[in-house]
Amino acid sequence: MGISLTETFVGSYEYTTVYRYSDEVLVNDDELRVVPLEDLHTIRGSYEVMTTPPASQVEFEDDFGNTVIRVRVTSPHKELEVVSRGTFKLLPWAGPYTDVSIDSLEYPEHSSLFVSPSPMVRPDLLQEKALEIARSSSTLLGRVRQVNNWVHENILYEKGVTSINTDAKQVLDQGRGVCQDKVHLALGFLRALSIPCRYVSCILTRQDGDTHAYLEFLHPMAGWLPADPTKGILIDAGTSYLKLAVGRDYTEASPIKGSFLSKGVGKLSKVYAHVTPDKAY
Amino acid sequence: MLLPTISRNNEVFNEDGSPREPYSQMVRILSELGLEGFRAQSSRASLQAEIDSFTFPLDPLRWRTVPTDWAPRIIPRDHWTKIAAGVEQRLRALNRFLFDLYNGDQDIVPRKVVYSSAHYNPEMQSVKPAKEVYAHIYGIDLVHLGNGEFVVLEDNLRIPSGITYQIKCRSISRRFFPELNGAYSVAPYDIKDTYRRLFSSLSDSPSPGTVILTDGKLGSAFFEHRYLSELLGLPLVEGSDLFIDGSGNVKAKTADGIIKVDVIYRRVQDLELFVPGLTEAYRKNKVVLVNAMGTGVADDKLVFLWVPEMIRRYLGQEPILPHARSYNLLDAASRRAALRNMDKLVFKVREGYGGLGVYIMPEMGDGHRQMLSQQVIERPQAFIAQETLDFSRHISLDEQAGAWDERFVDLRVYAVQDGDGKVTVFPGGLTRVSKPRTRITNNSSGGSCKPTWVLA
Repeated sequence: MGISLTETFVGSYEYTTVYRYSDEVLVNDDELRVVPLEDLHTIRGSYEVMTTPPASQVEFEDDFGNTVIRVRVTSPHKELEVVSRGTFKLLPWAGPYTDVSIDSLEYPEHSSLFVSPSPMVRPDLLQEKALEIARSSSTLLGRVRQVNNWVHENILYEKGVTSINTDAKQVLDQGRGVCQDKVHLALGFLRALSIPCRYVSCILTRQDGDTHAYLEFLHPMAGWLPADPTKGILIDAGTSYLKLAVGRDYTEASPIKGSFLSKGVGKLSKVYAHVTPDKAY
Repeated sequence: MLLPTISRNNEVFNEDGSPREPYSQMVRILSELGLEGFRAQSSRASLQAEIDSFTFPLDPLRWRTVPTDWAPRIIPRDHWTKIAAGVEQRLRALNRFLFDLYNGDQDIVPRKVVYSSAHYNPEMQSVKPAKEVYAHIYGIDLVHLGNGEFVVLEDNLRIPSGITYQIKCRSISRRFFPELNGAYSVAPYDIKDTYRRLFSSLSDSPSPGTVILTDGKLGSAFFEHRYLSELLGLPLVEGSDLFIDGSGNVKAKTADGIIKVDVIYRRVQDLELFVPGLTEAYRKNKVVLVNAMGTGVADDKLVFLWVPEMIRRYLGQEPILPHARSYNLLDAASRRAALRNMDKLVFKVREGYGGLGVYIMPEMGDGHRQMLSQQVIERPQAFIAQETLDFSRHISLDEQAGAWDERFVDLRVYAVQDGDGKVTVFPGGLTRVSKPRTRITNNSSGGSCKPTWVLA
């Protein structure tokens, strides 16, 4: 490939999700977080979100700054397809960043939201383990690295053993899970260590398929920096991620959240994300 | 004297035990009747309520008579004048807001609050309801802080229920307590006429086909649905009785055959579940819905915070009825303040109704406190907080103790805004009485009703 991790990445994305239902759905009312989220490293170009059957939609920005599309479908359907597409430009993530001693760490008041418990992450239940993992380091980056590495190495990547309802403590107990689970556990450890951090849902720019999850922790001078306990990456993520949404955990950043009225049950039947680099660039 | 002790904010008595102005005759009559006399009349009244099927279901096989406390609440004229003006003002502002939200570019309530509300309906964007009115029938919950100061706790714009309780309570109380009835001149109202005018004002048809859509016998408000059907002379239909014909019109199968439906007075929430395809018919203006689709977003307990601003902006007036001081828990500073003052506040689940999901902290233990603060931190978008108000108490016959007791009372007032722009506020309303030692008054939480008379 002609694309370097350390150079600007310009391209287009297409993300498709299909839900199938065992019976006719009369109303499908959802919040979609499938549009790229801009930050210092991400510039969003044009974007659109379409559903089949078609739906009325409104757009708003939630508390975390995510672009949310609210849709409501009332034509009866047994399958709902959501397609999100658009263009973007990414500037690479790379270190080094100044490290900070834990004793001199100071965060603004509003960041306390990101050390508080959230629906999937109870830091109070992970306190002891977090200290055991990170005790030997006394700096911010040192502690984040230790947590990130520990989860990367000790939580086995395995599909099908967890669900979207598995919380951070359960991931620790089971010792297995997917990217979302690893992020929840790492978030729990970091919050137990009073380091503000958040969940990120993204599309991988160099790998087709499902959405991915990593985390961001707050650096008092540099702002939000990435860490990926699934891939074992700290900060040096280059242009691997196209960010879709952030939240305290999955429940606040998930690509689709909503409800439907039907006698049947719904099942995610397809997720496919694909990124095409812009040849002209 | 009827009561052993009297609270500061008792509507019937001053603290020194003398009756307050409108109650001197009532207290005299109740004293003459004596406890036994009042009890006997009360049980006759309750029997009549049962005969009239004034009931709600406990489960599919059992019904219960709506518990009623028959000693009436009497609202002086000057108090009522202010309440009625305040209710009308609020209803007009809420309707203006709804129109602006779906057809304009309102900037009073933050977009993220309205667009994430469970009852916001994206499909109603740019759809104009008949005569541009969304909330035709409105119920507002008030509490009385004394001296005629009534404060708004909640708006009910989706399917406000209980108006027939108001009618029923009043008619039975006036019939079975002739001494009291004779002592007071009570302001009249005509719900039948007002509702009929409402339905015909919303349709272009000279005699619109109107039906009442119910969720059936097992629904908690079936008494009300049936009573309204009889009172208004309108067919009561279930979802399966309605269908959309080939040309997109709404039809109903009734005892008199198939009729075209122009207006649905709907008493169900999830319309698509009951009548698939109704949204499409509604969007094409084939049918009028009372209340309109998408109205519920304005009784979101979080949107409530901005109603005073709606009144100022849309009507250019100051709110007549004050508002319980409320906290938006999505705002970090407000959330911190609310958690700090937790012990003094009421926390409400944003989507809750009927007294469910209401946590009155001064009445709760430490366990609840811990659980709730955890919940608020984890899901701040799911709650709002309000100050706990020391609202009024009224006298109530405690059947078990065989004595008069003091209970908290609230007041739900009903109003109608029709297609000609006229607002009617029905004098009185429904007073709901709490169980002992709590401020929660909802029937679904065990509260009872009290006849409410406004002096003419």
